[in-house]
Amino acid sequence: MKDTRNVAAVAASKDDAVLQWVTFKLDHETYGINVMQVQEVLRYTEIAPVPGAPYYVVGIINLRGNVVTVIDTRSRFGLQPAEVDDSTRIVIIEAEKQVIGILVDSVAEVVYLRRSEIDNAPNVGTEESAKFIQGVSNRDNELLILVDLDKLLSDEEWVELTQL
Amino acid sequence: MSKSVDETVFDFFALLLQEDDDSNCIVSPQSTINVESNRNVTISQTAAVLLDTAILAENGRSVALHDLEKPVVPKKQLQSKALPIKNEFTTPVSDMSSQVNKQALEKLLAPVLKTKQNDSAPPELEVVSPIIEDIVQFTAKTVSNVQPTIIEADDKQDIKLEPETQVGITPPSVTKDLQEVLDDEFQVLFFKVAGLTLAVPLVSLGGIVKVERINHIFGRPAWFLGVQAHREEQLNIVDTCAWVMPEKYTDKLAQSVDYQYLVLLEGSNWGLTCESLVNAVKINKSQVNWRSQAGKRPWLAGVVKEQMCGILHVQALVEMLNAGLGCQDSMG
Repeated sequence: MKDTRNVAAVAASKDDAVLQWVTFKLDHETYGINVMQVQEVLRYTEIAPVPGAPYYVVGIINLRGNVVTVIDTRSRFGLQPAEVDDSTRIVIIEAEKQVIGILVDSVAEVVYLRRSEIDNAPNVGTEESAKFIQGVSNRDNELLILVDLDKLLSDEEWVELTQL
Repeated sequence: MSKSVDETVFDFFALLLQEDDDSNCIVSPQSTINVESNRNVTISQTAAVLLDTAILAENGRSVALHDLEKPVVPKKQLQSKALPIKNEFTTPVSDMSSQVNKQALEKLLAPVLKTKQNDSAPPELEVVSPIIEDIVQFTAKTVSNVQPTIIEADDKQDIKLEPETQVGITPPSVTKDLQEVLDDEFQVLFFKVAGLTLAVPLVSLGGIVKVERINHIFGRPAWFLGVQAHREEQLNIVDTCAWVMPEKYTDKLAQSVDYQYLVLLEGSNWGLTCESLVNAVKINKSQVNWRSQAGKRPWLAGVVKEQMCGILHVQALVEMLNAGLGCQDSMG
């Protein structure tokens, strides 16, 4: 009987796995990205612009000898641009087998969320950027918007990035 | 209300008249004259009259008939009651010639019309939001329990002239399902957005919540304000002004609106933003001009004649919102 209970508990815990999310701020809202996709967080450094780059590309940085493209997250999400300040960060992530940087207002913390705590985002989005959101979660009366980094760019756009 | 907002609301209802089925629309020249000649007529009332006219046209009924349905108040009674009435929906006393015309019309129609004797003035609507500022939220049940605030429409009506055929008859319409749910007498809550008054039946009211922290979510339509946490759930917040009159929702208007409450739609997690709650009133089905065709505005069930404002068809509205449709988007 006890074994049966343990098996059930393990099965339940597998269904309701705990996921870790790195949270960052953009335009006074809190967003979360899967911690497994985050490599490191950098202070803002000078970003070299790339002529002819897509609108959502801020430029490139040199990360220990590697060239990393930095995405303007505000622009990609359709938010108003903002000035860079002391809290601005570049989050280095890996998505679609590529390493890129995303520019954010600030990085907050790492939070633990059960899968059951994640709700679907309101399904009224008609814009392309609506698909970036994989869910929302309410923590301490604050909404956490979970971003699907793999969908941050389309297949063509990921290819385009490699050719910058 | 600023002039720009007035104009916006006026223009909005003028636009509403320009539907596909507007070929049947008969706009009473008298209503135009009233707007121009009588500065006391509030714009919201004018807009509602236009909307009412459009709906009457959709119902295939003439405006002349509608005019007959309006209560004709004897001059003496009107004079004695004109001052204390603060009701913005109440038609201001117009010029003498129109009164004479009404009296003449009354004499002419006396043989064919029944006069209905009632006690007093039409239900008075007062902005009660300051009174209920302390109320953070209350459910539809709570609202229905607040009986003392509900004004019995039947107890406070002036002498009415109504054609016999109109009494108790509601034409078959797209709002049939809504009408079946409602009792002959039902309660509605009036609320205001940018000078526009809307009504929602209390049976379709999920509750009222104060606007607090709204989380903006990108990639959503302009009318989608965001989400607000409420009892461990997320409420989807509609920018009512942007949804109802998107073509008039300028940056200036957007800055001027000051949303205070969310009117929750029953059976959904949608909430309509509003600037103030006006009143809860008990009305009769016959006091509403029900729409017979869905047209482009299935969310509009009809017009409350006395208060001259649109009444929402919540079920249709929720369906549209769930589908991510704006006010002018087609359901098909």
